[in-house]
Amino acid sequence: MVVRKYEDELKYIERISDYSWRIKKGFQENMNVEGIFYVNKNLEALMFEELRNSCRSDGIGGFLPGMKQIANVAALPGIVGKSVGLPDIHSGYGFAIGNMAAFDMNNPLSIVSPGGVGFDINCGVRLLRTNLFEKDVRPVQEQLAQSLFDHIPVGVGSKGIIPMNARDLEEALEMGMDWSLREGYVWAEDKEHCEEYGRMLNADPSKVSVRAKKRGLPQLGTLGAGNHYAEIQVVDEIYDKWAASKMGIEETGQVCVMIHSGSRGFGHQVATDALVEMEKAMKRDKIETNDRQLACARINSEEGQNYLKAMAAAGNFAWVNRSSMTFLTRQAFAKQFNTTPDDLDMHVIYDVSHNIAKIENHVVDGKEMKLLVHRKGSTRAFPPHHPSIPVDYQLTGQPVLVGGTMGTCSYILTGTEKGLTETFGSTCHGAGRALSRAKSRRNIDYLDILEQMKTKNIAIRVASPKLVMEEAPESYKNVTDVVDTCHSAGISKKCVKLRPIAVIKG
Amino acid sequence: MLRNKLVSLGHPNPEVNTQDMKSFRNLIVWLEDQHIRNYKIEDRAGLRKITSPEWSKAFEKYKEDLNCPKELKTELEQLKWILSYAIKLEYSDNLDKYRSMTSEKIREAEKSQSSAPSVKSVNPFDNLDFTSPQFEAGVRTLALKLNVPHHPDHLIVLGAISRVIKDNLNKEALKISIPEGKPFPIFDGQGMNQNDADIETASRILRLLQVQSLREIQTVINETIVECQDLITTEPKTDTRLGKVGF
Amino acid sequence: MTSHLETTQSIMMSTSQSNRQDKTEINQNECTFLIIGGGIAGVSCAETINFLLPGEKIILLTESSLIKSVTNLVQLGKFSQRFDIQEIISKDFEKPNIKIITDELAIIKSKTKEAITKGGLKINYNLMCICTGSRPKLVNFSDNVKSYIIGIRDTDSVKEFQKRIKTSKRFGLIGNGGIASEIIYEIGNIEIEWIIKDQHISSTFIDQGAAKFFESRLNNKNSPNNKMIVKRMRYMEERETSESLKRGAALGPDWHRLIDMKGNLSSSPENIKVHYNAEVKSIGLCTDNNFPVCIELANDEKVFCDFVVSATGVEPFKTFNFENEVIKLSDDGGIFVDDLMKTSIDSIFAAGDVCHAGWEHSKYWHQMRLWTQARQMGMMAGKSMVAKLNNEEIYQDFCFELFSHVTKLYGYQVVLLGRYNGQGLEDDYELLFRITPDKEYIKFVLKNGCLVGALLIGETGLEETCENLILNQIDLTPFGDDILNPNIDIEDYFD
Repeated sequence: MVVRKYEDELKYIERISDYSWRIKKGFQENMNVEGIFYVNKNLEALMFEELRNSCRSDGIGGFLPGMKQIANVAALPGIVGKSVGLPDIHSGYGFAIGNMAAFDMNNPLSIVSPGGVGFDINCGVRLLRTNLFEKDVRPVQEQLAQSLFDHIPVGVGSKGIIPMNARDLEEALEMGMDWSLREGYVWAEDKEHCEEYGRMLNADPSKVSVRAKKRGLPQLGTLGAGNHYAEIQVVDEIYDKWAASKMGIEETGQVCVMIHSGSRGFGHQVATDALVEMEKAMKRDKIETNDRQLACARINSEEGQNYLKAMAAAGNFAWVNRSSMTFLTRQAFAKQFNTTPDDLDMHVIYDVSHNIAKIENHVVDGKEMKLLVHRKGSTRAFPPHHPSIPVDYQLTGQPVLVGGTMGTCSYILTGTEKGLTETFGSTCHGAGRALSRAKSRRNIDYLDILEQMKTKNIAIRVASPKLVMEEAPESYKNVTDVVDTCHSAGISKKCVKLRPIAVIKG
Repeated sequence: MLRNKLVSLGHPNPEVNTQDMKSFRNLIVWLEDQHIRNYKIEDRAGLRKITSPEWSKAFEKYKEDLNCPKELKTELEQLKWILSYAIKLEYSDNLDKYRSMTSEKIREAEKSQSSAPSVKSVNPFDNLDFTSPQFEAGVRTLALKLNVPHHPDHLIVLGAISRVIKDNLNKEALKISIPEGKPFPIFDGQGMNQNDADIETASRILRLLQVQSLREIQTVINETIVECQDLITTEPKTDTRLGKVGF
Repeated sequence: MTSHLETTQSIMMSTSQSNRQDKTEINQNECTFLIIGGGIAGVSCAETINFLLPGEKIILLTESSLIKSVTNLVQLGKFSQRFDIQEIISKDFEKPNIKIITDELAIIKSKTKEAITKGGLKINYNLMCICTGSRPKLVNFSDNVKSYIIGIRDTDSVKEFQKRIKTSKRFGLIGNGGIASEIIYEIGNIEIEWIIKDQHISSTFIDQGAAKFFESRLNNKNSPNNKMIVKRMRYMEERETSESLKRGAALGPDWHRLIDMKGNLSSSPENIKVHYNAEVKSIGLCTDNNFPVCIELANDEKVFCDFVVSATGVEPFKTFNFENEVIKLSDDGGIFVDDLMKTSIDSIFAAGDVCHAGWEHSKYWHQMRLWTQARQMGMMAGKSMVAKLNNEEIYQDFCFELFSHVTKLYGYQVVLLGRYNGQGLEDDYELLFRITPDKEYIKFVLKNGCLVGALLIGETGLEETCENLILNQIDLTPFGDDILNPNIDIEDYFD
């Protein structure tokens, strides 16, 4: 990594507009393209603060700042256009979360990197609408939350909820949401409102390790849920009435349910297996990257292909998860209101993926190209009339679901033409979380105790937060800032704001 | 020859294979039933039991009763004779009708038949002159009323009118209330990159129509999926009463 | 913080009837699955079988008319979960295909697949699972002090304990595990002499640093804020007939909740005296003192008290015999089982405290006789038995890849993952801490730069991340101490 003084680093960063900055070549070594990131005033301060702090820490160890990670990705072989940082960007493994990058499929040197997808493969958000209003739900809020809690903390195959054995898993990995459809857990209409129709066709369960499958199967006596959560939300504000009505959202106060989940342990194992394989492939093919975490393989290599197939299987796994949660949410609501999900109009508005790599066609410098688009902590946001989006949204543009941190506001955006040309049709995915409020302080009292523990000659360290970071009063990225930046920069458009009235965490 | 005779007698299958015992016997029964009628209906029972071993006896008796010459040894010869006998009976029954028939006249009749089918039409439109100025004026007025755009060929306009009536003015369509609010801003947003403004407009309209037909296809797909679900999916294995964990 | 809504509820149950009158009918018992023991392992096993093969005939042979059922599972990570145990009257667990027999196993005739009970019943089975659990190891004592020593393990002994503390001023507590720690935290208005063999308290689960972390909690435990509101199912057995049972199954978490654990001293702020590094040499009666019992420690120190509570851990428990057959046991007396919970005798499985995990363990798993593992083993045995019946091949469950246990100590949630105390690492490891007094205590155990274990006290939210880091074996060297930098959400970093 290039180590410079903060003032020198700034020479490589250049403002493009009120909402975007360019990272020039040279900021990191071997950059093939430039980087770009989108921030407003508030987020900008955080980004630069982060860079400044890393300069103070001599650039050794620790977490790379988002800007550096964007630049390292820009140095990967085969990247086209720009390495793009979305407003909610924050440090992640290899790629920052909120970084998207596209690689030319026709360039034999182009790579695919598990770090560009993330561990929780196809982590995403699904939004269900209802025809209920806040006044209907408020009086039974507690019961409904309890009922959802009884139902929801269940991913794939929770004991007694959605049974799944090894063969079911194998099929689910191959079929994605089609498995849920076949088993009768979801509605036909759900499929059409899902990215990729809820199924990655290139999924190949045989490329998934046995360990990953074992890790994916429902664990004995577990609910298999954990980080999954659901929120009951109400429509707080409608910015684009027409687009909202296309989604079945008519008025403020209308109740929706947002479901968050991914592929969890299964995705982790797929990513881990691939990282190990790819480290070998890198040596063999002499691929060099700026950061060891950016392990990758040529798209056309065996390792690259195996990863894409296994990743697709993990993607399918995540859709089955969200579909199962959809089923259970509908059941919980139907039970509470003593009616059917149909009568509650509990349709899926849309289902987005945050962590995934897909093959897409884009126009780059006036030429149509086939690209492998990595989106990590980033949502696809295609404009109106794009062939990949559902017919219902052909005129509005693809809905983009942006979940805030648990308990804060969420948004629905729509994709724009500008987003398609500037960011390969990508936008933010939620609030940036890696930079969190300073949570705790180490306490000097403990040093003695820990010292005593060294009786066995065991190395003992105490996490020491960098003091400078603690000065930043509120280093949490606010979802509203994030969404406003995307809207103002034009890479997606605000449509609806939702606020939670109940959170159900597994 | 056998075939022609069968055709003239109006047999439904003139290509009948007389070598086949069953077909042969059926044919004899048919000739007796339809044309010869030598027996009373109840007396035809023996001939009708074509699978019975007794059939040959009945046939022997039948030939005798018809005075079929005993010199005819093979069944084919006998059949030919019976056929000719049936034709003879047909001719003599309708002597007046057939007397005037000569091959020449038949040929003439055939000719006139093919050139002008003498179907008497009951459709009043058949008597309309679609090219008359009066008709055209009517079409134009109707078009004006229904807001159908102008086309030089009034028949094409008529086609368009027909579609409007069929699609938008049928009972079902009339039940749907007319949407209120602003119409879709078809000229806003991303265009089709056509230089000619009219072509651009037309492409945008086509694009909307395409969306509509996509919606129809998607609906059919959904219906198909639901049918499949009904076929192969029993109820989900899930018992949500178990929502409470731990049995 | 758990956002889920738990209901506080106590279940009062009375057990008055005995099953003996059904004897003739029971004598004809035959079943596909025979499960011995109504503790967590046995019930989990029965539930799993009934889930996988609904309607198949199961007989649960239990010594108590109460059996245990798991409720309020709270998922913390993919593998870590907290749950509560509810004791339900066994009749309530019965389904048309599940028969519960209250009796004790005497002899297993594995050759003919018969089990004979002490009550003289004969049960024919196809597959059997032994889940007879464990019993407390009592400290050595002479017969004359027997009545002054109680072990805390089941509902009966708790009752006895409750009775004693009402009439005592001081008791001695021997042991340093979960139950001992809970007694210490929960009990008030009585003096306690706590005798532990280690350098710090609660050593079974936590290290010295964490013990220090807890100390403040221990010293002012009576301040109202310290008692977290734990909304869970609780149970209490109200026993009408003294005859009914001699032994119950083991206690569950929160066993102390409904029990008044206040002694009769009005106030005693400094009422706990801890004897570190202490070993009991003997326990005897004494007359020359205000207290009837004297505990003599290895260092000749004498501790006087009204009675002694022995909470020194458990040992596998089995009182039955095999006819003409020997089952393979481990050194600790546990029944040796393989990765699919099979014992050395065909068609006999074992699960829970009674068994010894005889398979080659994953690097991050070790056996401990805990609720969590009783449940996991019980379910694994159930799954395995069904697979055997159906002639299917199955994998061992992934939960045996990673040790995880969640408990509550001193009012804090404590999550133990992998080699949380550096077990078996032979000093070749590093520790990384983040401590916020009265809030959280986080310890990472690292070997070769990879996480191999973690101890998480308080609401850290790191459970699933730690599980993943251990299972993935991602090299954390580049992050250095920053991996626990409180300004970074690592759970997000590895998303």
